[in-house]
Amino acid sequence: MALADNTRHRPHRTPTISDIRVKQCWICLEEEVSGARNPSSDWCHPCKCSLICHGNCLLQWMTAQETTANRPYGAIKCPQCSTEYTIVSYQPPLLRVFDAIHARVVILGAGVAIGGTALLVGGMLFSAASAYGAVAFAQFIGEKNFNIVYGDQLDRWTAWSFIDWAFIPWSLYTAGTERSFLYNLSCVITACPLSITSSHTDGSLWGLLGSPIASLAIFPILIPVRNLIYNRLKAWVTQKAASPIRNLSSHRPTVRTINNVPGMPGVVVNFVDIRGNAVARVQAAGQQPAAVPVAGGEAGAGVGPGGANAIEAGPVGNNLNRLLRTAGLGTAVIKPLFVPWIAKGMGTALLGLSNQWRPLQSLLFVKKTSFPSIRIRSPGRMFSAAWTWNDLDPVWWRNSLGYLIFNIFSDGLQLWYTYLIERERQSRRVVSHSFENLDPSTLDLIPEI
Amino acid sequence: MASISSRRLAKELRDLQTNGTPTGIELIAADNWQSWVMGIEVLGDTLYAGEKFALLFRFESQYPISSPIVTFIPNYRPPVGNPSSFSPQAVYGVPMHPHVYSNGHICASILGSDWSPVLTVATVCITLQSMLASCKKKERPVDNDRYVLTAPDNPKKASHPDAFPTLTLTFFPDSIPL
Repeated sequence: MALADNTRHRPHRTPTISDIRVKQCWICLEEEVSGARNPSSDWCHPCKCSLICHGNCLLQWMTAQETTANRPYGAIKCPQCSTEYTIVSYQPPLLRVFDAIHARVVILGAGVAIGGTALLVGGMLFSAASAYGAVAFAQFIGEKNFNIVYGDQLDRWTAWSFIDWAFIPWSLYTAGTERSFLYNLSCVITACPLSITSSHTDGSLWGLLGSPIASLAIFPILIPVRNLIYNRLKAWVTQKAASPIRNLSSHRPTVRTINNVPGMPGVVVNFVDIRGNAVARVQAAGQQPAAVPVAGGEAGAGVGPGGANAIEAGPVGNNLNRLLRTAGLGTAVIKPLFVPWIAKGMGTALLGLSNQWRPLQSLLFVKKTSFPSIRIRSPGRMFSAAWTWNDLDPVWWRNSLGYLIFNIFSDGLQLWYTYLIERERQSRRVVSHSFENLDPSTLDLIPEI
Repeated sequence: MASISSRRLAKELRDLQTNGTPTGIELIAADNWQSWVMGIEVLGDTLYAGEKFALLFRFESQYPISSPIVTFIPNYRPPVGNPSSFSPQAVYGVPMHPHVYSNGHICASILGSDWSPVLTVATVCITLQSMLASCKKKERPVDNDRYVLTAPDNPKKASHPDAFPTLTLTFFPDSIPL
């Protein structure tokens, strides 16, 4: 109807926005008939389809999109024809300059915030590690020796020492895991840097051998050897466990139940025979029990139930696995951190032993006192109290020896435990009962002759 | 000076009253510029044949720049004397649909990122009608139980986490000599 009229009166130029009879803004839905009393001068047609709107309404819409929907200002499109809108504004060069500076300042600020936090956290971790390392090192080389080497004045300690000490907990943790010889050696060198060590030798080879680094240097060699021997022995022990047994003690499978596993309401855990090798049955309320075999456990503490490499699990068993793996991680972290104190304890024990038994003293190179010898350089110069490692009582040597002995001992215990576990497992037999309570006529017996 | 939302809503209301509502859509209550109640029925041979639902539209002062908050009303009892065919004696519930939670919150893009002022209350109702009509299976969303426990009153403020966060410890060392 209206179309026919328009084609007859259509002007020869393309129609503009002012030719439309009733304009309606698609945002505020206000209608304006042409020729109205107070026409708005804000009408615009910013896209290719027939939608028109107030310029102001559209700018409001675009600002809202920019702030809430995170769409860049210029990428707002017409909802009907998807034409991108174009905006013009007054942008003098000074504005552009300020914008550029501001953008860079913003990035810098974000970088500082992130970097600062990282530095703070890293610094705290580093300080904790360094403090531990200093104490651990003091235990290792003996406290009296530590006072001579470093003295009480913190500001005289070299910066390199702090960095070295921070690496000590990491070295302790990773030593012995399947790392290369070079890696373990580097751990040793960072713990006791050559610079400090060599500056206090009398230049000869014997001087270097007398320093702590020599005591530590045997470990990178011994660790792979120990791992090899241990694995061989473990295989032998496991194989030996298969031999037949005489004394079988009768027992029910030990069932200890935990009815309220913290954090997992409704879960009942039956630990059937939990040891390093454990079988746990986890039962959620109303669900079928999922048996979770947890294998391989000697990564735990020496003689106690260890952490486990949990392998399979049902959907409920995953929580148990997480629990056991957390425990394993915890013990794995704690055990190495005790090493310096164990070493010190063993060293003191060896010293005590050597007081009883003379020959041990020469093996341990025990010196009664630890005094740096005073060297006179030349008549014209002052007395200088330079000391060498040979002057000091080699506490580190007997600590290392003691620790080695301790390690052999604990490895032995672990192997023994592994053996017993394997033995128990291999020897399980199910007990038969007699047919007493059954009616013989229900059984298919061999006919008596 | 009346706000942008009240002017626009007045316009929409006038349009609905003069031109009528689309088929299957009814106006139950539109007394103020803050919230309206629309009735929706899915016509034709669909899973929801014969069922009627009540939609609550809540408008912020920046409507239509900001999207309306649209939810189904659980256990709705229409007011007495309302102009629609929804009886005040009956109680209307929330449809069972994979995008509709049991508290009435709707998961639809036009109510969130795809909203634009070119849409109106009527067109939103029509879109929701077709959403219901195209449903293949009557079921609740997968995370319905968890969502309704923690959802805020305003569905625009709700977060939809993807999966339950699992703490996996992957770092486990080999045997360590003691």
